[in-house]
Amino acid sequence: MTEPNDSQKSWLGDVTAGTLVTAPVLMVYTAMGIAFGVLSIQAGLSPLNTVAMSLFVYAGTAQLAGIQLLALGVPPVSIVITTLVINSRFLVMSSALAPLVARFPGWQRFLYGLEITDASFALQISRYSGRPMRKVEAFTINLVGHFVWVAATIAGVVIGGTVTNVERYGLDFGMPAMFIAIMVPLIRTRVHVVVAVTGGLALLFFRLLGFSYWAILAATATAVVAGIAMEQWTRRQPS
Amino acid sequence: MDQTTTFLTILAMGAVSMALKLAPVVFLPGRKLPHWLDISLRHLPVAVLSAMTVQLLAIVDGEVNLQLGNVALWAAIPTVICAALTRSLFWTIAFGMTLVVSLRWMLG
Repeated sequence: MTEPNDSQKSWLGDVTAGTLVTAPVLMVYTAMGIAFGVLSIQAGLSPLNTVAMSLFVYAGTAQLAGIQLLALGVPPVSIVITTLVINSRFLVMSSALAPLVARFPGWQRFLYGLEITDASFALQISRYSGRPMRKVEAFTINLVGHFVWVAATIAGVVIGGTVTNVERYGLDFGMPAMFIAIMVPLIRTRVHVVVAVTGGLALLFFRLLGFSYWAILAATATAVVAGIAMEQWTRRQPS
Repeated sequence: MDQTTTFLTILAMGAVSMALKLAPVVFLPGRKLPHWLDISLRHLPVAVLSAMTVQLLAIVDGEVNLQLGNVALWAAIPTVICAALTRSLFWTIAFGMTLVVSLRWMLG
């Protein structure tokens, strides 16, 4: 056996770093993936279809909505359109990630794009803002995440019938806790505070107006506009 | 719905999800973005994370629920403080989930 050379060492280092940095996300994925597997079996999907959902759709909210709609016998076209609406936020997240992967060749951007999730977006946008993305590390974060998501779904399928009321275990708080953990350190200026507060309040406002899945996009747009307005206004103030 | 139709529906759901995730990272780089889009992108992360957090916490069974009984919503406040103090993904998630489980247990 030969000694690993420098490029192999840094490759291994990036794989390790990627796995470590995403470890807390993996806890959330494990909890949510198991919950999804359990709920999907209880909704009447076959084990194969449940796993296919985690493999191909790979988006928690859309998957949970999907199994409910499939169980209700809603026509496939409506289910696909609902998926489009719920997942439209990925257009926004992918646009924000685009500058970070701009130097990758097209096929690598394609593979990277397949693996975008709420969590991978949140983690990577904060990790690689202001410093170059480490390719191997980023792909490790993506692939390990997808693997754990599918594995946890399989675990949920296996224990399917034996668990009831997954909420009792606090699993539902994993995702919001993760978003809070990633968002709070991103808030560094008064403008960021305005964007965060506006985003939350606008979401409530649009929900109360009767928007359902579109509320996230509408609230995001409102918060972005508020941030830009606040920036312009502060710039005009003599300091 | 039989499992074959379900499988085909899942494939279509997958195709839609993948297209939405892929399109910007594949097609945006190398293009000159309009100035407004460029500034918007800087605010996007905080904006979308905030909206999604509130969606997950304050919307229960499709309705806005700001009542005291919505334990997860109120547990978010100490969780934000924990995130600000520790700046740690692990400790914030661990603290938040423990808090929610304890509160639900105490409140029956």
